[in-house]
Amino acid sequence: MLDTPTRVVVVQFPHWSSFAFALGRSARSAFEPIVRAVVAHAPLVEVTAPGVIVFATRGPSRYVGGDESLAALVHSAVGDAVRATAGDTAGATIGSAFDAQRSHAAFGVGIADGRLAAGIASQHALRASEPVVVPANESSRWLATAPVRSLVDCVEVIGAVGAGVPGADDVASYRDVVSLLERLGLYRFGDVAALDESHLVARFGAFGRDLSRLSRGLDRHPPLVGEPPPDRVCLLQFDGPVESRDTVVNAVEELASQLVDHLGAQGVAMVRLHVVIESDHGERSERMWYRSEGFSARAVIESLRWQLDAWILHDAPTSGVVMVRLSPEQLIVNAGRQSALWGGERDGDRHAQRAVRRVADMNGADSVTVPAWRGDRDPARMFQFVRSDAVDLERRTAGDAVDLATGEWRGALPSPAPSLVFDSTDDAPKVRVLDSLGRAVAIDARHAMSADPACVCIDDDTYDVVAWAGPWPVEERWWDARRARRAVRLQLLVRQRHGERSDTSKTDASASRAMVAVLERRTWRLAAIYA
Amino acid sequence: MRLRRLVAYVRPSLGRTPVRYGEGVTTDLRTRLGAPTLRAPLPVVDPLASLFAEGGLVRGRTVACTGDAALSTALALSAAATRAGSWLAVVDVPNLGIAAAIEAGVAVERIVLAQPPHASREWVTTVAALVEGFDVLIVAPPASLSANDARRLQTRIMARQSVLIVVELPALTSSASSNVFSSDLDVRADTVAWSGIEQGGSHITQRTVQVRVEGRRCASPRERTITLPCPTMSSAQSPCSTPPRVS
Repeated sequence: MLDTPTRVVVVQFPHWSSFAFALGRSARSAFEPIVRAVVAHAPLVEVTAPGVIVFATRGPSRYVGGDESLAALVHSAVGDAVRATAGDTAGATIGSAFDAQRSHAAFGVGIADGRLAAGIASQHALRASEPVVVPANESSRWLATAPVRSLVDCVEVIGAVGAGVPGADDVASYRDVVSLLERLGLYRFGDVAALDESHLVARFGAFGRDLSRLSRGLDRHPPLVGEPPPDRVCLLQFDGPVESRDTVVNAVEELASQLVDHLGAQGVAMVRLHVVIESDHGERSERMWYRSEGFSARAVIESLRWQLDAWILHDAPTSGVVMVRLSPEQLIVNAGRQSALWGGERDGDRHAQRAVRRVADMNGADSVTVPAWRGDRDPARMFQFVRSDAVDLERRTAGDAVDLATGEWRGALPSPAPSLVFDSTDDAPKVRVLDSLGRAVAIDARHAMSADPACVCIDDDTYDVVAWAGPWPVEERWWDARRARRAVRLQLLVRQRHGERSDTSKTDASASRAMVAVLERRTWRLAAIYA
Repeated sequence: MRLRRLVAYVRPSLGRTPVRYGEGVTTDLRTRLGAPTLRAPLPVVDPLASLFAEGGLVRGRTVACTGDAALSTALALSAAATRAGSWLAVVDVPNLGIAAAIEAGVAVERIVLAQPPHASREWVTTVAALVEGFDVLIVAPPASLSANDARRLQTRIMARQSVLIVVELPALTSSASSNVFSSDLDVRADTVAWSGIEQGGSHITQRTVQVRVEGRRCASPRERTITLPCPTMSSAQSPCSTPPRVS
């Protein structure tokens, strides 16, 4: 097998998550229209992360007549899709807000031999706002002049430093690698490529080999030498159409672990996986998936769930699933995984993962959740709870759960944070905030209170207000009529009124409780309790 | 030769061998080994550590947290353990403020929330399954939980050397929760002062909480006044949550 890099197209949105957030949608589902726009021209694409699409040029390029025309076609198709996505949700967006969103929606299309070169080409394209095509067989020479600093921007295209999906930690790891290379006087990939591979391995471990290969303009993974393992048909056909997403996922889970075990027994792992899902009416969804460190069974399931969710949401198949096929496309020698002494994967992580899966099997996957950062000024919406089977708990890092890079939210509750929070959609306890005359406290258009709050009624209990802070107005997305939100918060310190409850003996006389009440659409609700 | 030994060591970890605790090989091993060996107590953040004679949470015990700062104290108690690599399961607290957990110093990547069914038997089965993988569990028991089931759960906690923290949520959010657990330690946390808040001005900046630890595993009650959130809790960077850098 020849050790030549694959010629690929990379479409990259560096600020996709901010753009999706500005639209008020999750990064994955907001990205689907873009993926569909690309799929119209190249059927088999790889979505490495929300905001990154990679696909091989070989077929599509010949069909449209060359790399330049393919790049131009993809650029215009993606541009249209972005405009449609932004216009679709923003509706009557006023100019400045729209421009702010547009700058987050900037993207680049790059074509080159090998993922790294194509990734860097897409970065160039981003600045020039037109596609960049590196001529065939020129990539290694072109790459030699590129600064090693661009590694940091291509994390999602080339994969993580060590074993693990690219995350905040990996960007930091790449920064460390780049900083070390620069301190050693190696500013360009050409300088790194000139070094002996063994020296890089001695300094960086397994990643040194990858670094050397990438710098020389090769694919990160060397082609498998020796006999490929016997083919394994990984086809799952259901007796009848299956309508439930969970049933499909559970059935494939078995298949995926068999496939990974089978490959593992041969000493190899797959880095690229082709997943095909077909419905009873012949509708198909196919997609390529990439994991730089090789797929585990969990990673296969995570990819399948993403693909299935996107398919159901955007293509709305008219019948149940009858067939799922998993075909490994690229294999690498499996270096194995060793539990780490510091950091990385530990035994405890594996035990926790196993316990979580067991509970998910018992009570349904929705009953076990893990927090994920969403970012909002509403305490209940600051984090969302993700189903445990959508994340790989063994590889979870703090960066997956909380993204502090987004910075502090103006208008968020000040520290200390309340330990119990209630969303407006929840059936939070009903609250009435009354003044000393027993009238409900109202707040006018200028955020002035009608009277000082004197007591709070929660269900049937009455509490006296000891102290309060506020009112704090919250006005969100005032430019968008459909998603605008106007509310007022009040932090209250209350004490239970005596004589109204029979079991007052139980509660201490001085026991006071702090809470946050929110007035929205003329009704008070409990938003948080400091428990 | 050395390489072969290494391969032999790595190989079994490649295949997936399902391990079922409580049956088969593991049980045999456990009966042969006798009682589980005593493991070091789980660490507790500085201002709270002095409340425990052992300097931390002794594994296998049940701790009951009551008072109006019960949940915040429970989070503070589990913070140091999660930073040292233990996983924390929070059972039946659907409205947990994750921001408060982070402020208390909990490693957020190792929190899992579970919402089991409220029937006594199902609830206990679920929590017992979680005990297998989690070192610390914060639970708010449902009213339907029977004392018998609670005892079985505590036996499992002891066998697996985890720590069960039973919290009492404020009455105004949940239907009366019963504490049917016979706790080893009772932690009562009452807010004695809220600082910062006035009649309309400023906001809550700090709460002063009086924590009292007593119970049948505590020779003499200990008491201490602390401020929440503790300044030492979140500022201490965990050595384990950040992997070593390549350099």
